[in-house]
Formats: sequence, C-alpha cells, structure tokens
Amino acid sequence: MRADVLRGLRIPLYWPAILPTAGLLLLGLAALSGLEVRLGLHWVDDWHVRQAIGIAVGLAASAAFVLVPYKTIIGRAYLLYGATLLLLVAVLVVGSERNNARRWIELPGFEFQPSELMKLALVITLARFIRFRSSYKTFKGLFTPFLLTLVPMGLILIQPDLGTALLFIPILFAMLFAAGARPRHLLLVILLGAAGILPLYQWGLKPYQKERIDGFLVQLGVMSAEGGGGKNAGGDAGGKEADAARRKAEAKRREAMAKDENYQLEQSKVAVGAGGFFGADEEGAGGQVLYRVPERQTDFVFAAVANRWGFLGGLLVVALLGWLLVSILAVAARHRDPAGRLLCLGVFAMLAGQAFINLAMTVGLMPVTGLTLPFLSYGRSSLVVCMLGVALVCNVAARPAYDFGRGDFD
Amino acid sequence: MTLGYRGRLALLAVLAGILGLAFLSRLFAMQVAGSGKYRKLARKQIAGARPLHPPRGRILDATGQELAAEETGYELTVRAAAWRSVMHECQRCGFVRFYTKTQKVGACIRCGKPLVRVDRSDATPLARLLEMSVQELLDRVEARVREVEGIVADRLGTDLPPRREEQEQARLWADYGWRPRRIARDVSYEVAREVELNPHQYPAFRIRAVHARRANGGRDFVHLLGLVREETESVDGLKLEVAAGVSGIERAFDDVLRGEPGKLRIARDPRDGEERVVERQPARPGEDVRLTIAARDQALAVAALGGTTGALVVIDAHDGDVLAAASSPCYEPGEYARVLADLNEQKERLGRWPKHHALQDAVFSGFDAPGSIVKPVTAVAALLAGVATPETRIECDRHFRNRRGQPLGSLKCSSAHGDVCVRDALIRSCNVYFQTVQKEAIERGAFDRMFDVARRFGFGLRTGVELEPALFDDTWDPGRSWAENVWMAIGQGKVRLSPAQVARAYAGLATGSLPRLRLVAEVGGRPVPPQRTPLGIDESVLRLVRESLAEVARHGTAAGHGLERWPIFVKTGTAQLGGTLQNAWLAGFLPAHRGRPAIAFAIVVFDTELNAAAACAPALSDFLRGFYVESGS
Repeated sequence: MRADVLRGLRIPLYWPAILPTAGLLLLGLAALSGLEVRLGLHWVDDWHVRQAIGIAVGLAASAAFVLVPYKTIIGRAYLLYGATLLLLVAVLVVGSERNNARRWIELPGFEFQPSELMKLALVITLARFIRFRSSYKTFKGLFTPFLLTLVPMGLILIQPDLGTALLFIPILFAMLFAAGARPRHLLLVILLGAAGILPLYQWGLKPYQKERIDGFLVQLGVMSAEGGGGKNAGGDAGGKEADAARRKAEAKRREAMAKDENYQLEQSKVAVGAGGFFGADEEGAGGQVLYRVPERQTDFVFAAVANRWGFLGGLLVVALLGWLLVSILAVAARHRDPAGRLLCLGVFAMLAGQAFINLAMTVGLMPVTGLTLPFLSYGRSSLVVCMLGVALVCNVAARPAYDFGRGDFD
Repeated sequence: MTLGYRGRLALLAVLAGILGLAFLSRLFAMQVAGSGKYRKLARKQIAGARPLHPPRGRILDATGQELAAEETGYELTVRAAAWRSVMHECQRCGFVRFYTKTQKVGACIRCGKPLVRVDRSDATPLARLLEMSVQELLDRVEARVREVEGIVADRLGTDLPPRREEQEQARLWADYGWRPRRIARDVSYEVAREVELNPHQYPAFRIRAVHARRANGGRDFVHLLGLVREETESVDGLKLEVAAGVSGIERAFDDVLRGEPGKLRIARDPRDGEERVVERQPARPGEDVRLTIAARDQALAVAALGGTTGALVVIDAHDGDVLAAASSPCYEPGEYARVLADLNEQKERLGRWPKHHALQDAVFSGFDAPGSIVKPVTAVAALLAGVATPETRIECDRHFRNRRGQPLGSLKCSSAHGDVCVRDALIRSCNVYFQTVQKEAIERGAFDRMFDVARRFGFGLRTGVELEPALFDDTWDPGRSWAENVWMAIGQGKVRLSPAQVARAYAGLATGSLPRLRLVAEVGGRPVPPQRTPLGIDESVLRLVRESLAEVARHGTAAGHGLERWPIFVKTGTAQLGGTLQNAWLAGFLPAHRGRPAIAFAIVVFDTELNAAAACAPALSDFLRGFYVESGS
C-alpha cells in the first residue's frame, strides 16, 4: 500500500531539461560566490548563500508543481490568473518601494515579486484559453488573448517594471503564432504597436526609463549626448572636418558615460570586454572594473560571468540555455496535447525572451531593462518562477497525451 | 504556403538561433576582437595609486622597554573642491554626490530617488566635535579654499581665450581642489573615528594620519638614539613623507628601522567619487632594534655625570656590550631647536663652535688627549718590546731629559718619584718613567713594536659601535717629531682617544682579549653576536699591570676618593689644555660582582681645574653604587 503511494508520488524527471538547468544554476552560484556588493556602508558577499536558499525553495516548489498533473493546473488557470492579478493590485497598495519602484510584497522572512509569478500565470492562462479555440485565427479573435496580456502588463508598468512587462509580448506572440494565428494579423498588431512607441516614450515612460533608452542610443552613436544630431554630425564636410566631428562625438559619448543614464551600460560593457577570451585577472584592472557595474548580482550577472570566465564562460551560458530551450521545443514538438504544447511554448518564450533581453542589454544590444538572467541572476522570485517553468515542462513531458491522429494546430 | 505546427516551431527555433548567434557575434567582437580596447578602458578607471606608510621600527632597551617608537596622530583636512561644490544627498540611503552650480542634479544611483541639496549648516556637528565655534571652523575652511583659489589663479595662464581658460581652471581645480588640506591638527582618535566612519555626514572632510617619532628615552638617550626628520621618499613615482634618521642609532640603523613603503591602487567611481582598493602591496614595517643598554643603567650614568661636561661609558669586559654611555650636557629631544639656537648664539659670541656642547656625543665621538690613562698600555708595550722588565728602575727627579740630557719642563711629574719600577710608575703615574722607556724604545728601534701593541689595544681603531664618526684618521698615528712620539707614551701631544676606545682597551687589559663593542644586541629579533680578539699578550705581563692598577685606588693617584671600597682596577689621567684647565680621566675595570658581569669603564670630565680623581671619582662612585647596590642585584 505504502509502495503504491510512493510510486504515485514519483517525480517525473525530464533530464534533457533538468541537466542544463542544473548547469545554469551551478554556474550562477559560482558567479555569485565572492561577488561583493555594497549595501549601504558595508560590502556583502554572501549572494551565493542566499541564492542557494532560493534554489532549495525552488526545488521544493518545483517538486510539488510537477506532481500535480498539468491538466489539473490548466483547469485552475483562471483562478491562478485572477489571484495573481489581485496580487499585482495589492503590490501597488502594500508593496515595498525600492529603487523608485513598488514591486515587492514583504512577507516574514522573504520578499515576493508578483510580476514574476504573473509570467507563468499568463503562460498557463493563455494555454487554457487557446487550446480548444480557433477564434484567435481571426483579427477580432485576438482581442481576448491581448486583453489577458495587456491587463497585467498595465499593472506591472504602473509599478513600474518595464522589463518584465515587455516580456509578456514575446510570450503572447510566440504562443499565438505557434497555435496558428494568422501572421498578417500579428504583423498588423506589431505595426499598430510601433505607431504607439513614440507617444509611449513621450508620455508613458518615467524619466529614468527615458534616460536608459537615451543612454542606449548614445552608446550606439545614434544620438549625441546632448540629445540632438547623429553619428555623422559632421555631415558631408568630409576629410578632417568629418574626423573632428567623429572625435567630438566620441568625446561626448565618453562624457555621457559619466552621466547616470549610460553609466550602467558602459560599465557592463567594459567589464564584459575586459574579460577577454579566458577571463580577467581578478587582481588587475580588468577584473576590478566589475565592482563598478551596478546590480552585478542581479540584472548584470552575465557581466560577472563574462568578466570572470571570459568568452568561454559566455559561450557556456549560451550553450546551456540553448540546450534547455531546444529540449523544451522538443517536448512541444512531439507532444500531442494542445495544452501541453502551449505550456511548453509559453515557457520557451518566457525563458528565451528573458534570457535574450538580459544578455543583449548586458552587451549593449538593447536598452537597459530591469530583467534578470534566468537561473543565474540573484532574485529568488524570478529564480523560483523559472524553475517552476522547467517543472511545468517536465510535467508535460512526463504525461504524454493520447494520439488521435493528426496533431492539433495543423 | 502555410506552415504546419512543426514548421512554425522550427521558425521560432530559427529565430531564437539567429538571436543567439547575433549575441555571440557581439560577445566575440567585445571579448576576443576588441578586448584590448575594453581592458584599456578598465585600466583608465584606476584612479591612481597611494603610498602606504611603513611603521618605523622601535628602538628598545636591553629589557625591552620602548625608547623610541612611532606615534600616530590625526589631522582633520578639507577638500576645497568638495566644499565649493554643492552637496546633494539621497534621503533614503545617504548616497552623496557633489555638483557644481551649473551641473544638472541627477538621481541616486542606488535608489533612483532624486538627490536633495544639503544645507552647509552641516558644519555644526563637526564644529561641536572639534569644540570650536561654527564660525571658526568655517573661517578655517574658507582660508583653505582661498589657498586653492590662489594656487589655481597663479597657475592659470594669462591671455587664454575664455573657453580655454574655463577648461584650464576646471582642470586645475580637479587637480588641486581635491587634495586634502589641514584645518586642525592633533584631533583626538574619537573625532577621527567619527569623521572616518560617517563620510556622508562630513563629506568635504577627511582624516589624515600623521606619524610622529616619540622618544621615550628622553634626555638619557638623546645622544645614542639621535634624531629623525621628515624626508620625502619616492615609491614608484609616488611621494611619501617618512621619518629618516639624521643622527645616532636612528641614522646608523635607518635602513633597518625605516621599512619599505607599500602601495595601494585605487579605483574611483566617476560618479560619486567612491574609492575602492583594487590592489594592495602592503608596507613592510621597519624592524625593531634592541640595545645592550638598560634604561635604568643609562639613567644612573647620566645622573652620575650631573651637570659636568664629560662622558661615562661602561662596557661588559668580556662581550663588549655597552652597558651605559652617557654624554653630558644632554637635552630633552623636544628642546632641540632651543639648544641649537643657544649653540648658534655661543658661536656668534666665541667666533667658533664650542669644543664640547649638548648636541655632541662625547662617548663615541668625543676624541681628546687621553693623558696618563694610556700608561698601562705603554707599560705592556715596553715589557713586550723588551725595552723594560718588571725590575727595570728609573730615577725620577720630576724632569724628563731629552737626547742631549737637557730637562724638559712642560711634561714633568708633579713630584719627584725617586727610583721607580713599572709597578710604582703605574701606581704613582710617573711621566718620567714612561717617557724614558719610550725614548729607549725609539733609540733601540723598538718604537714600531710598541706602537703595534697600542694598536692591538684598539688605539686609533674603530670600536665596532655604529655611532662613531665617518672621519676617523690620525687619531693615533706616529708623531711627526721625536718629542711627539715620546709624548705618545703618556697620552699627550697629538694623539686622541674616545672614552669608548679607552674602556675597550681596559677591557683588553682585564681579560686578555679585545672585544668589539656592541651597542645593538638584536636587529629585528636576530641577535648580533659578540666578537672578541685575543691580544696574544703573555698573562704574566697583564697580571703585573692589573696588580699595579689594583693599588691605584688604595695607595696611588686615585686614593682617598672613596673608590677603595670597590674591588676596582683603575688608572687616572689628565690631559693639559693650557692654563689651569685640563681633561680629567678615570678608566679601569671591575670583576664580576653581585650578579653583574666584569665591566670596564672610562669616565672623562672636560675642562676642569680638578685633578682626575677628584673630578671623576665621585661620579664613578655614584654610578657604581647604583649599578651594584641599588639595583638589588
């Protein structure tokens, strides 16, 4: 009898997803170990210990999550969505404010970020909504999935947390696209969204968010530090004048580095670049520059990895992430249940989008957004949610659906 | 063409792959192709280096008591540029940033909160700490700010175009404006701690450590330890003020005591000026030097000399350890400037430096005519050279006669000693006997052998103590004339000895070996081994001389001055200076007694009208009483 119960509790493990996840978690712990961060007047370097506690919590939560059949979870999707929405409202009222944002609910012993949970809740809700419908194949039918996405996005933008909010868009588009939504409808939505970018920049963003975008454009040379002109400010004056203009632009770019808006990005780039192929010597200037990267334990943890272990370290991170994403896609590809497929795709989009945005901002390919690198960054809410995402994939992979012939969404 | 489900998945996978490749290309460009550029940028962010002060080693006495040690004090400084800038603070985390009046005020880099301007009235708590009025503090600060303004104005080129002038001014302010300038010295440790631990409360102010040499040995050791002065040392191009020895042990062991400066490489955050040490090359502290002298014995020697001008040196007769070395007059180390001023005044008055003065060490550097103190060595030399035997007797009618038989009046004996042998001559200090022996040696061609014996006793040679002057020539050389060579036998003429040399020679007489004097017992915990050289002199000769010296305190020239109560072997000596003044000497040795080792000593009183015993015996008695009796040993 007891053996039957234990057999019933057997945790389904999908090793192709678990192994790279474990690799990323270990790499994250190694990156955080010895990473000193100034808190007030003190330097603290126990981030790896705190992260290990987060991993333990994540493992426990994942084990519980994987034991419940994913169809049961899908069945409670709207409940989960509604509860998380309530939490998002609650955080605006009772949440603790930090870094000029109200994102955390403080509970005894830990802090919790509802917007992180919303990512997973959205994946599950969209999977529930889309699985047996085909209305999203019409332009009008896209309204409900977009509404389901935009409501939490709006609440998260109020906090404000632009990075997390923006992550909802690739999740929505990837799930709709995979489910068979018409590409032209999605393109039309993208065009409409693009038209709203300028008004959003002008009136919808906080000053510091604008500064980050300005800083990004300055470092690309698209915009001068004074906000006007362009990279070729010298125009066609040619020869020496053009060189002088370029030098001036470069000087302004360096000057901008000292300013707040671009500081984080420039320091991150210097730390990454100084890592070289094998990593920077910690005692040398190349290694020490890492200490000037703000948020190096959270959003800019990749700068720490790339600085300490160089290009090889970066390559390892990308390889592990690639392995994980491919294994998730493989489950999505071979699974027969539409809900299972959508869940996997949602998790895929969530992890891939978050990883790319984070990595790209670290090396200056995108503006700085407050988004963690899955499994590596310190941030226990994000860590637990990412681990729950992998648990969801394991859940789906361990419960194959019955094959009734031609797959759904075809 | 419509894509199936797996086709769409493949498309998503390809899209993700393209993004991944784009990222990797960028990473490759930054870390492999462009790594040099970023490393250069990283190096540029190293703000500079700062030298680390090496604590100067201590000088300890024989018992481990500190005679000289470094004392750290604190100064309060202000950075004019920070003071002139407008300070802004984050109300949440205390982050501070300075803005010039034209700069746009930004947000806190930690909290994102707008920074709030801080009122300059923050000087009030600091003024309270320093126990001065706010106005006084502000006046001091403003004086320093004006000082920097003056420097900048002086260095600012003329005829610069307005824009260039502005840039140049900013550059000069960045250079000179952030250098800390003293506004209060000798601030207490509590104040220093408060300011250092709360930089956000006192943002324009910094504490600077000041290292001063504290001479605990005081006046007793002032000649031995010497003085230090501030010197600028360069460490890889960085300037550092360090104490450098200019005299005494401080100079002789300067390279040991000084240590080696270290270096910090500092990175400064361009936004908030926060500094972080990125490389630490620790300073190597100077090593301690332990002397052979106990502070107590030295104090006895100084007290014994009292106000006389002279010197007293006592050494371990076997090992050569210097047990006391007092030179009088002496002074408190803190009074150096006053003493020097007095000395300059005397020089003005006399037209020359006084022969003996407070700034001079007389024990190791005070070379003077030794007088009859050398006669025991002459006796040994004569006996060894075969010029005289113990039984050789010479008639003394007060006058020594030259080669033509004419009496020489200048170096006659004080009374006619009659028919004297070497023993009598030593006890009664007969000039005629020793001059006659020396004349015989010169006539028989044995002068060189006698001179060689004097050298064996260390006359004209270094004692081994590091405080002796660099110039050390012709203090004990053959004379240029017959008379000078004869006078050498009684320590007159051009020959010179220091009290340390005399004490060392008497240690040789006592033990049959010439010790190398040792003032320093340990350097950095490593013992300095004693050295001694056997004189190679027949023991019977030395015994004869010792027996003679044992009689001097009882029946000889030192009798009647209280020395007979000691088991003492002693010889008096006077060196005529013209007029009624003379240098009075007393030298000898005592066997191991009351737990103390066998000692040799020399005492000299300069420019006295008293005879040797009267001038020196009281001081020696005082010293011996303290050394043997009051020490309880």
